[in-house]
Amino acid sequence: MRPLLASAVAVLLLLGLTAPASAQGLPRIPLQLELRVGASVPTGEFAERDPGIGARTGPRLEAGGVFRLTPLLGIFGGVSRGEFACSACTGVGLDDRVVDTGGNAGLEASPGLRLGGLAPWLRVGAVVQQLTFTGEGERLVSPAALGYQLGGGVVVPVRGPIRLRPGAHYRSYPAELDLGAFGGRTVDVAHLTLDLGISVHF
Amino acid sequence: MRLRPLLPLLVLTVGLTAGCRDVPPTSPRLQARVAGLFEEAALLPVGASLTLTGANAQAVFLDGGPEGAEFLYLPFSAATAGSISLTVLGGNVLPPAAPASLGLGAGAAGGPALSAGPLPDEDFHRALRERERRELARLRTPGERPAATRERSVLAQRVPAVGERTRINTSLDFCLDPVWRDARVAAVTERAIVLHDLANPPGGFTDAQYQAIGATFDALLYPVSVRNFGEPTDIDGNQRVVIFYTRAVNELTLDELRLVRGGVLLRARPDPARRGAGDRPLPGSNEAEIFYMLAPGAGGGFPDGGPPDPDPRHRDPRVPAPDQRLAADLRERRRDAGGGLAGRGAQPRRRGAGLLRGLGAGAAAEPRPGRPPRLAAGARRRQHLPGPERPALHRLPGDRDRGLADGAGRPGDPRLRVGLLRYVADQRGAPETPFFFQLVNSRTSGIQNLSRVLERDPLDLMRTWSAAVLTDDAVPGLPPLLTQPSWNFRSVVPALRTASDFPLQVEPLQPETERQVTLTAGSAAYLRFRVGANQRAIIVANPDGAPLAPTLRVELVRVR
Repeated sequence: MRPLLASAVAVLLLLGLTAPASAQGLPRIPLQLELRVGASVPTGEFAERDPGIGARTGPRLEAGGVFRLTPLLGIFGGVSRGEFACSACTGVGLDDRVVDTGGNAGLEASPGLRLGGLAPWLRVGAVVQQLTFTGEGERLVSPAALGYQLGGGVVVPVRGPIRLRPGAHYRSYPAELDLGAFGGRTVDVAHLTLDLGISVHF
Repeated sequence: MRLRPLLPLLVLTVGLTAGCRDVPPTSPRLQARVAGLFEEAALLPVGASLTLTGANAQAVFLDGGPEGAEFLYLPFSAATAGSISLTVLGGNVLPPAAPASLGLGAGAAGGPALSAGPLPDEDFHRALRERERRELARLRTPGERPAATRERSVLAQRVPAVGERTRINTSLDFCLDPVWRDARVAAVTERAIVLHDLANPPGGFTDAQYQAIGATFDALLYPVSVRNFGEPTDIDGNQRVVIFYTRAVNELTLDELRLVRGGVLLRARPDPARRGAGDRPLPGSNEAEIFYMLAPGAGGGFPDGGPPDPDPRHRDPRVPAPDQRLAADLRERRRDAGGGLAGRGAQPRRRGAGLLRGLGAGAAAEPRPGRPPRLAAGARRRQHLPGPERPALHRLPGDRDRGLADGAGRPGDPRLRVGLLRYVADQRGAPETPFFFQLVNSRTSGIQNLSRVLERDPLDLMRTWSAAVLTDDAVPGLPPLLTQPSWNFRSVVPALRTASDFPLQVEPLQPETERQVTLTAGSAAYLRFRVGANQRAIIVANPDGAPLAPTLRVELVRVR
C-alpha cells in the first residue's frame, strides 16, 4: 500500500499547488504529469534460463511527473509496474510471470532542439525496484534495490498542454532474493522499455 | 507559493520512496520453487544415481524430464559409532505415485513367515562371544586353570557307532561347573556325528532324520565351510563335527524376552596352538567340536512345544535351569544401553531387515496360544520411534539402537553381516573364496577386518548395498553397485508371508515439508518422491543451514 499512498499524496500535493496558481493567474508552475504505457524487453541474466528466470517481454505502466527547474532541465519522479513472462517459472511450480515494481527519479534534459517539430528529451536517474514471484497464492518479493535508468525520446505536441512523449528506457538493478533455507540469489534485472507517454503541462 | 521550492524535492521523494514496499514473509514452499530456477538441475536416466558428500549434499536440483521422474533419496551414516541427525526438505516435489515400498509389500498368505514369530536373540549371541573371550583369556592366565581330567568320551579319538551313549556338558559356565546330559549317537556320517539328548521330549526326530541331517551337513555345509574358511580343528581326533540336539538349548530361551536362542557354539578351551605344555582338559570340557541344536518338541521357540514352564516345581529335575547368570548379564547390558528390554514384561524389539532372518529362521514359529498378542509390524515399529513425530527411517542395517556397528567396530547384526558380505563378495569381481577365508582367519574383527581384506573403505559399499537392497530387480538400468547379484529379493519376499510392508521402511518425502532423520552408525533412511514432468525440484539437507555431519553420504537414485 505504500506506493499507492505515496502516489496519492503526491498527486494531491501537486494538484493543490498547481490549481490555485492557475486560478489566480499567478505564474504557472513548471510541472508536467505523465502516464506511460509500453513494453519491456528483458536483457542479460534476467532473460537467461536453465538456469535462470528466462524473463520474456511484458507490458509496463508508469506514472510520474517532471518539475522543470529550467526550460532545459527538470527533475522527474514516478512509479512503474511491469510484468514479464517467465518462461522457466512453470517448471518449478510458479506462476508464469514475474512483476517488477518500484519508483524512479532523476534529471530530465531537454536540449531545446527541434527536429521537424519534435523536441528530444533525455533522462538519467535512479530506480528503486522490487521483483516479485508468485505461486499458489503466495508472493516472494525481493527487498527494494537501488539501480539506475537511462532514457530518451521526443515530445510531440498534440493540443494545448497535452503532449505525446514516445521514448525508450533502460533500467537495471540487482534483485536480491532471500530464499531462506535454499540460500540467497541476486539477479541482475535489466530491461529495455519502449513506451509511449502522454503528459499534461501545467 | 512557499511550498513551491519543495516541489522538486517532492518529485524526487515520491519517485524513490515509491519503490519501498514491505517484503512479506515467504513460505519455504515458494522459496524452494524460486531456488529451483537458479541451479543446474540433474536430469538422470532411470537407474542412474548420484552420490552426494560434503557440501554437495547440502542441496541437489533434479529435473523431472518430459515425463516426470521418481527418485530414492538415501542418506547414509558412514560412521562406525554414534548417530547423526539431519533434516531433509524437498521443494517442488510430489509424493511418489506408487506404493512407497517399491512394490515389496504384502506377501502371499500361507507362505513361510517372514516377520512374524520369534526373533533370534542376537544379544545372547554377542554376550556369549564376549564372555567366551573373557573366560578364555582368564583360563590362559597361569594359576587360573584348574587341572582336572574326566573320563574319556566316546567321541574322543574314534568314530562312535550309532546307539552308543556318552555324556555331554551343556553348561555355559565354561567347563568349570558342568551340567551333564546323557546323549545317544543317532547318526554318523562322513563329517558329522549326530547326537540327541535322552531327556528330549518323545516324538522328536527319528534316527533316519538325524541321518539325513548328517548327510546334508556332509553335502552342503562342510564343503562350503572348508572351501571358504579352511579346515576345522579336530581336537577330538574323529574328523567329524558333533551335532547335539538337546532341550538344553530350548531352555535357554527366556520367555520374558520372547526372542529365540536357536543354537549354541561355545569355545571353551584355548586354541590348541596356544595351550601350554601342562594344560589338561577342564573338568567339564567336552573336548570336541559341537553344535548344540534346538530339540524338536521341547519348547523354547518351537510352535509345538510351548514356552518353558516358569514354575521350577514343574521343571524336569534332570534338566538344569537356564543359565540365569547369562540372562542376568543380558539384562544388565540392556539396562546400560538404555534399550527397551531392561526388565520383565518389556516389549520385544523389532529387528531391522527381517529378510535374511526370515530366509534363515523365520519359519520357526507362529504366535502361540496363551501368549500376549503380538503387535502388528507397524505398531512394533512405532514403539521405537525416537519421538512422536520423528520416525526412525533406517531399518535395513539392523536395529536402530546399534546400527551397523557397535562402539568396538563390530558389525552389530548377524543378518547384516550375512547380507552385506554376500553383496561385497559379489561386487569385488574376484574369487570369493579368498575373501571369506581372509575374513574368517583374521585377528581383527568387524569393520576393521572388512577394511583390511577389501583394502578400501567398506562403508562405501555399505552405502550402495543399502540402496541395492531396495533397487535391485525393481529399477531398470542400474549400475552394478546398485544390484544384488546373489539375491532376487523381489522373487523371494512375495512368496513369504510378510507383514503389510517389507521390512524396509520407505517414506514419501512430502512437498515442502521438513523430514527429520536420525541415522545410527552404518544405517540409512529411504525417502521417495516424484518430480513432475518438466519440473525442477530441490532437495536440501539441513535447511536451517546447520553443518552436515562429515560422515553423511547421500545416494540419490532415479527409480522411475
